[in-house]
Amino acid sequence: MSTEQQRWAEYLENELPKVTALLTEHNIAIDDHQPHIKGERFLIQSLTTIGGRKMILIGTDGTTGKKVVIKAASDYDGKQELSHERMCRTLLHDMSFSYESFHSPKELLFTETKQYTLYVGEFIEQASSFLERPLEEQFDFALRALKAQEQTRATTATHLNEIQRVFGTRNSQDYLLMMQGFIHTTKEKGGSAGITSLLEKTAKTLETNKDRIDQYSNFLTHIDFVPHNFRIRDNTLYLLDFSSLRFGNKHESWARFLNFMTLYNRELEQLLITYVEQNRSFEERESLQLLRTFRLSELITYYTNTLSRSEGNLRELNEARITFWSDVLAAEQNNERVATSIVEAYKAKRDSLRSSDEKMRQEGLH
Amino acid sequence: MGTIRDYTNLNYVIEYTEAMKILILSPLFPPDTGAPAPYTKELATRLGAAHEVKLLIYGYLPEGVENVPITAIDKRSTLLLRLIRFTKTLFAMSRECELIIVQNAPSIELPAFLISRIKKTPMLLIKSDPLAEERSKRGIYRLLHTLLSTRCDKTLTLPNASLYQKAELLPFTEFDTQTEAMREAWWKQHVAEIKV
Repeated sequence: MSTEQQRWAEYLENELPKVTALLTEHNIAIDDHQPHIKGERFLIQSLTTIGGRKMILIGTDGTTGKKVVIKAASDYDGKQELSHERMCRTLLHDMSFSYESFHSPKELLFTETKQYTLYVGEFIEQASSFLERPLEEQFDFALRALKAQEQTRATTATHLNEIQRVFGTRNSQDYLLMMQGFIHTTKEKGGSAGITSLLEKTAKTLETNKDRIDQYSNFLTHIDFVPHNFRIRDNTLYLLDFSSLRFGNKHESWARFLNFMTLYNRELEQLLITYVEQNRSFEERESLQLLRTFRLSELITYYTNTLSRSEGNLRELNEARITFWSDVLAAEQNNERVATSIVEAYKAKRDSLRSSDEKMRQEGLH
Repeated sequence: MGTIRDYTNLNYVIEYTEAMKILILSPLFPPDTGAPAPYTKELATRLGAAHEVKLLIYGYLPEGVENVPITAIDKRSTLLLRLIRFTKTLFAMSRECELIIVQNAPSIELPAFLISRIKKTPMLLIKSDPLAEERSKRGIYRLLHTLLSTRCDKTLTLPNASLYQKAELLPFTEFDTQTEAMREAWWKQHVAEIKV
């Protein structure tokens, strides 16, 4: 067990009984099986957001007998993240210039004690996970959700004042700064010369196309728009993670989703790209491509950053991840899709190296 | 020049035998969203094929239209400042044009009305934004809208957007050629109506 993993285990051992006791006061019991605190959860921390340490638990509301989702944090960053997410959720529903509304699970409890910040929300039961649905439904839901985000753009000084403090904004300058950060981290953490050069090439392309990035900036965008962050019930998509909403280039969410689908559903990836090529301007297509390479650079840096915190099979897996996402980035830099054989080979390796806990955490997640 | 002053009924009649110099004003333009944005882009594209068209819009880094120069007034400054900038630019750009197409939105109607007091360039009002139309039924917006409507030589109200907006090509939906033909017919008629 790595030091990081050991720390997470100790954190859970210490915190779980306290949170359980606190929840009992509110007539909420936690389930015996808790998939979201297992596996590689201890490593998950976003690179470009201030992610605190928090627990995501599943429980039952004693009053209604209904399943609930619990988010609990005791450290400063974790507490801040939960409060921030709540602010985002509230502001999103009240924003004066938003043309579309977003569905969120009903909040059942939000409390801040001296030690904990606690959120309890409705659990959205879904008949099947996103990836288990027919391709047509996946395409329809994804496109609707991406379009809904695009309907909200902060264009005036008043709009920007309204959202800046809560959501934060990103323009080409911010993306370039983050790119420099990725290059620095990768070098520092012993990334290969090949990977560093890939990232530098991406940075150069972004720099050359600053205007294209800014052209589609100030849109509402979910920077972690992937199936485990939304659930579907009665033909309605519910957004689960509101802390990842930003005002930035609108293709950040598209890029994250497409990069994810490179691994999980290549047909859907291709359908969405074709949709953009057939229905949107060439400028949009270019912006999407730029953001894809940015998000891939972020992913590579994320895994490079985990190397020192992982060992054994997990370290080997993270190394394979870096190689795989670098192959994807190299292809995308030429606006080409990575070969299916590379994806399949990586998946086989991943499955052979994943721990049983992580496999359990992944079940039905997407 | 295709402008003939008809002194009998004090209306402008513009013949389409020659290309006109048209200036289109819009509060929104892609990548901004909202009803007038895609409409204006398509209108400029279609008119640009036969006329000398220029666009004056509110926005920042708009998408391009072939052969149509776009002047964008950044909306991120204060309301007063952007209204002044828009009015000044409109004054300069209206020197050369034979027709100004104004779309209904207070931020367009005010500068257009002010310019109409100084210049006699024909103006065509197109009601392309139902939300702005709703707003113009109240208070100061109503007054402004009425003043400009009186000054405009002609007013066109757009039908439901589904009748003129481009249908998307979607992978699991058969493309409706009949609706597309109707849309094309609507646009032909609409472009023919762009005269005062």
